[in-house]
Order: sequence, then structure tokens, then C-alpha cells
Amino acid sequence: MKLPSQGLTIGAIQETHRLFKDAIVSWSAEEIVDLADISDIDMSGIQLLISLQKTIALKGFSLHLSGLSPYIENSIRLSGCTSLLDASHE
Amino acid sequence: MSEELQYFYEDVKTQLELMEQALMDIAEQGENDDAIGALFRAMHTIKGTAGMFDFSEIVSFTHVAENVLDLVRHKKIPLTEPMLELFLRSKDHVEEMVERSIGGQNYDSPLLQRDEALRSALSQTIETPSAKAEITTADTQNDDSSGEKVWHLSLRLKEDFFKTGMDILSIFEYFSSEGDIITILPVLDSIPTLDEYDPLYPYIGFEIFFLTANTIGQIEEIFEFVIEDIDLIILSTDNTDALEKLIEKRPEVLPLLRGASMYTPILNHTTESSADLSSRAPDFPAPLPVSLETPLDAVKSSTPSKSTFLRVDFQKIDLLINQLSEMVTTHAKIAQMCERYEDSDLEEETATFSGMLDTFRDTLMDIRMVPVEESFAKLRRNVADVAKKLGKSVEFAIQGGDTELDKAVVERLSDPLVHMLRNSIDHGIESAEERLKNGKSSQGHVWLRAHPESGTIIIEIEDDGRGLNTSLIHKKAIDKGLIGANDHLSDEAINMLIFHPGFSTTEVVSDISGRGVGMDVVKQNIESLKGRIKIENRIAKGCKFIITLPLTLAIIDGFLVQSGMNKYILPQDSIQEVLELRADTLCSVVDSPLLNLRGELLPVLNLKDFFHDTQAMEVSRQNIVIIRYGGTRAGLVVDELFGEHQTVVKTLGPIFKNIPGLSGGTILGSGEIALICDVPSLIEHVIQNDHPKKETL
Repeated sequence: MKLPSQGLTIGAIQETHRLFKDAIVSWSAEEIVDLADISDIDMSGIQLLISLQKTIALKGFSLHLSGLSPYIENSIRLSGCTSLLDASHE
Repeated sequence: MSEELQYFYEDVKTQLELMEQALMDIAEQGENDDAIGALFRAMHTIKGTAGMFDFSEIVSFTHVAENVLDLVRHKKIPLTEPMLELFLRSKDHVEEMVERSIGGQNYDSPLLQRDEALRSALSQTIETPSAKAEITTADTQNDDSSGEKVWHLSLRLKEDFFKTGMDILSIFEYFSSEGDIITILPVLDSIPTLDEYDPLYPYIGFEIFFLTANTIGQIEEIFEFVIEDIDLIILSTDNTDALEKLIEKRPEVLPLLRGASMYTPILNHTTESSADLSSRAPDFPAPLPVSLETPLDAVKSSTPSKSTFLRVDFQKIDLLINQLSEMVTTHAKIAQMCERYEDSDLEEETATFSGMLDTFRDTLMDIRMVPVEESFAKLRRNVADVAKKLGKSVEFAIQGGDTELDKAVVERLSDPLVHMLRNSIDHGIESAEERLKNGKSSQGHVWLRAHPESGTIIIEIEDDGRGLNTSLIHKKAIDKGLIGANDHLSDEAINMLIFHPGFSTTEVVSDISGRGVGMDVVKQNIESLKGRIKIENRIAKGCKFIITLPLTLAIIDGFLVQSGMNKYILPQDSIQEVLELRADTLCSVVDSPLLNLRGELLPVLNLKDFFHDTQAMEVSRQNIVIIRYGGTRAGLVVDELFGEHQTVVKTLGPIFKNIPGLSGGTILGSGEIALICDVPSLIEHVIQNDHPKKETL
């Protein structure tokens, strides 16, 4: 699935939460969350990714992020939530 | 400009204004802790927010100023008069740096030179032998400030943190300018799965290890902007007591901290019970005298309670007012329909709606109203600068600063006031020698006052100087061809000529005033605010400029009347009473109609005649409305009274703009236009129109 540009910032975080909830219902295998369009991220966005990671871990999958810009990757590293980057794709 | 930059700019402006006010307070009243604290906070806050935008030059400069102010506030160096001047220049410098930075402009050579000069001057203030000695003593007494050390910050975000709009990542970024982040360990245990997840709730926490030379107080200041929305515990990593308390309070940190290298020697020797930790304490370095909770509590107690203010773009308020204007007009239409259809239920509902609209309007207008104090306070520096430049001693007093005025008016009033104050000091206030010779005190006085009156705001600029030289103004006006040599003008009319474009009586043009540009612009500016200006002159004793301004430019409480075939709105605040006009109500003196109001003769003006309305209206009775302004009353003859009317003020087109006696127009519910009367100008007209002075019978 691909996230919209501001999808991981506080202004759109409720919508993205709904998007994730709806999407994971049909996930039956490893899915990639594409962040290529994401231009900004804040702590509410990183925290939501952690929740998504925990949720799909219960299904036995891991979270795969792709299309991370250097800025987004740096922001995640800065938060210390580097587990999100463990299975990221170029 | 992005919204974030706009907020940054607004914050900087506020901080710099506070800084200037504090400097002026100190200059006028001497040092006080509050003012020095305000200076420090201004530089510190700008440094912090500029850091979030990577404006490194601003961060670097404010850091230098902040260091000096830190020594001042801890009484390690005195705040001398030259330093006040230095900080005023630093304030201006920061202002320019910020404006250039947010505008994406490069720093030009003069700015860079000034930057270097100011940095050097600021640094010199702390290089006095006494300051050095004080700092050395302080350093040896405070282990916190001697070299770098690792601090442990245990951070939790409060419930509403995300909703504040602040992003903790920005603060983490700022950390890097204050030291090195060794590691950030996120506390993720509380984050639920998506089903139970509230996206606006901050579940996450952080254990941060930070290497810095900063003291605990300086680290706490990094969080100054969010201190109300976080729970922060700071401890030295060699303070085992503090660590024990932290683990007691936040047991979830123990597994995380076991992996932290700086705690490995401590935690690997303990069992799961944190109580065992204290038994190991003697094996570790003696804890520093740092309390786990007290420093943060101290910061909190010095922080104002959580703000209930919301920063709103002024344009949004304008948008709301425009919408309200439409609602008021639509409401008037509905009210007319009610009358036409005689539907009592609908009338009742419309009356309720009317009350709601009134409340809505009052609340909305109240949002636009701001005390003039803030705007006036900024003028103190102008006065001080001009007086200093001219070598005059001037005491400047502000009175009625809590008077409220529409923000749009206040903002546009600033420039005219600056001009007038400069003129008062330059031309009005005499030199100390001249004042002493004339039996005055050597120090001149300038007053800036504000007070409400009859629905308007009066602003006065008064000085106790030499007053306007009416005969010189008269002579110059003739020389410049503004009036004829034989024209007969009152002293007041002659004095008003100083507002004529290009008029100046100064023999020597100074860089303060006296170029003949300024006073005409002042008048134009005041008139563009629907205000007026007049002069009360006392030769050799002083001069007072009186500016009358409308409270607001948007919506007023009006009183709807008809005269001839036209409808008019009179501002309600200017109406004293309404009488029936009977045959014996008026008398005539020298062909001028006068009203005998309980023994007092008032001039009378027929609105229909004044506006040259030749169409008569058949009426069973005529009425006289008593209007007042500035202590003067007059009677207005009108044909019909309709009563109160909430009036949305609309600007008149260019053809009607300069008609005396009118200040605007409004659209009635019926779609008709009503003209809004300018009561001060009507009263001025009746007074100047050769009406005999009022007499008591």
C-alpha cells in the first residue's frame, strides 16, 4: 500500500490509522508499505508505524517499509525507533 | 512563508518587543529581576526556535547575548547603561537577521560587520577582571558546569502532546546543537495494536543519554516550550539514588537501561528489585547534589500556567466578520418579512435569533479589540532615541494603556504616533536652557493618553513645550501661497495648516523631523482610519494633538432614522435623547435655529437641509435627536425614527467618500442603502457655521 504525502503527520494521522485498520484485514502475507510519497513525518506518524508493526506481528508478519527518503529515514533514526528500518526496502 | 515560519516570526517579534520593553523599563526605573529575566528569556527563546529552523547564525548570535544575560541575571556582572544600549542594538540586529532568514535573503556586508562588532562588544562585557573572577569562583563551586558529562533524560509525553502541534523530533534535533545524543531508547511497551489505538494519544516514551557541558538547568530549558506537556526526569548517570527513584517510578525502563552501557556496571550487579540498587550505592561514585524531582519542579513553578490562548490568523477573524455582516443583513431581511406576513411565531424566533446575533457580534468584535498599551510601549524607545539624539531630557508618560481599540486600527496608528511624538520632542520641547529661562523645569514632558468617549477612542499627544507659533505658521502659509494675505482665519484654522502637504516652519531641516513630510501623512493616515485630528495650542505652555478614532471599523450599534427620502444611521453612542419637534421647541437667534433644552440653547441642524435633500416626506410629526461629541451637543431634525439597528459599516465609493457628515453606508434588510452619519463632523459643522455660542436662558 502507498501512503499519501502528509499521511504520517498529525493532521492526517486519524485518516491513516483508519486506512491501516481497513487494509490489514485483507493482508494474508507480507505487505510492503510504500512511503515514497511521504514528504514529512512526525512522532505521531512514527508511533502509528510501531502500532502497525505490533499489529501485523500478531499475524506473524513483519512490517516492510519502502521508498524511504533520507529525511524520513533520519527522522525514524532520530526517534530511536530503528526497528522500523530493520526490514525496509530501497 | 510557511505557517511554521509565520508562527516563528510572530514569536520572535513578541520576544523582541518584550525585550525592548524590559530594556526601557530598566533604563527608566533601574534594574529589576523581572525585566532582566525577560531579556534572558527573549534571547534564549529565539535561540531555541531559530535552532528548529536551522538558522545557525541567529542561534550563534543569541547564544552570545544569552551568555552575557545569564551572568547578569545571576548578578555576576552588572547591567551598565552602555550594555542597555548594546542590547537594544542587538535586539534590532536579531530582528533584521530573522527577517532576512525567513525571507531567504543573504546577509549583506553591513549586517555581517555589525554582527561581528556586536559579538565583540558583547564578549567584552564579560571579560572584565571582576566578571572573570566571579565566573571562575562559580565554576569551582558547581560541578555541573565543569566539563562535559552524560545526563539521563527520562521523557514521557502528556495526553495532549500531539494536539499541541509540537513535534518532539524538532527538540531532539535541537539537542545536537547543545551536545551529543549518545542514544535514544524509545519506550514502546504502551503502544497498543491498531484496534485499541488512539492516533492522537502519545503512548511512546524515551530514555535519552545526552553528553553535554550544559548544566541541568540549561538542559531543562531546551524543553521550555513543551514543559507543560511532558513529564521529564533528568538525572546524572552517576547518581544511583536518582536512578533508583526513576526505576521505582517507571519500572518499564529497567529492561531498556540494562542495555545502556553507562548503566551496565550498576544494573548488572543488581537483581530485578530496584531496592537492591541502593544497597550497591556505596560501590559507586558519590551522587551529585542533584535532586531527582526538584529541579524540574522549580522550572515548572517558574513557568506560567498552561496557556489558554490560541493564536489565530487575523484574516480568519476578518472572514468571520464578513460572514457575520452577511448574517446581519439577511437577518434584517427576515425581520422585514416577519413584519409583512404578521407571523408571530416567526417574529419570536427572529427576535431570539437577533439576540444570538448580538452576542455573536459582541464576542467576535471583542476578539479584535486589543489594549493600546502594547503598541504605545513600543514608542518609548522612539522617544528615548529622539530625545537622546537631540540632547534633550524628556519624561514620557503613557496613560490609559488599557483602553481597547480594534487591532486593525492600532496597527495603523503606530506610524502617525511616531511622527507626532518626534515632532513634539524636536519642535515642541525646548532646550534645557530655554526651559529654565522661561521658568520651566529643565526636563520636558510628553504625554500619550488614550480614553474612550461616546463610542470613539480619543488619543492625545501632549507636550509642555513652547507650543505652536501661530503667527509664524500664518506667515509661512502666506509665503507658500497656501492662504491669501487678507484671508481671515482663526488661530485653530491656522494651526491646522501644519497638516498641509509640504508645510514646514523649521529653519533647519533635521533628520528627526522638519522636512515638511510627515504631518500631512499623519493626517491622511488618521483620516483613512475614519478618524480626525485637532490641535489645542497654548503658546509657550505646550501643545496637544487630539485624535478621535472609531472603536471599530466593522460593525456598530446604530439608530436608524429617515430625513427627506433618505435613511440615515446615527451611531447609538453619540445619541443622548430623542424629542418630538413641536412648534415651540425651536427658537431663532440671528436667523440660526436653536433648541431650548431644559434651559440650555443647543444648535440645530436639519439633516435634510444639510445633505441638500429637496424631496419632502409627508410626516405627522418631526423629531429632534440630541447628539453629542466631545462635550458639545446639538439637535438633529429628522422626519422618522425607526430605532436600533445593528449596522455593518461599508465603505462609500470614491464619489461619496469626501462628503462631509458621512462616514460610510450600510445595506438595510429591504435592500435599501442607509448612510452612516459622522457625528463629530456634523457637530463641528454646526459649531463653525456661525451659530451663536450657546447661552443659558
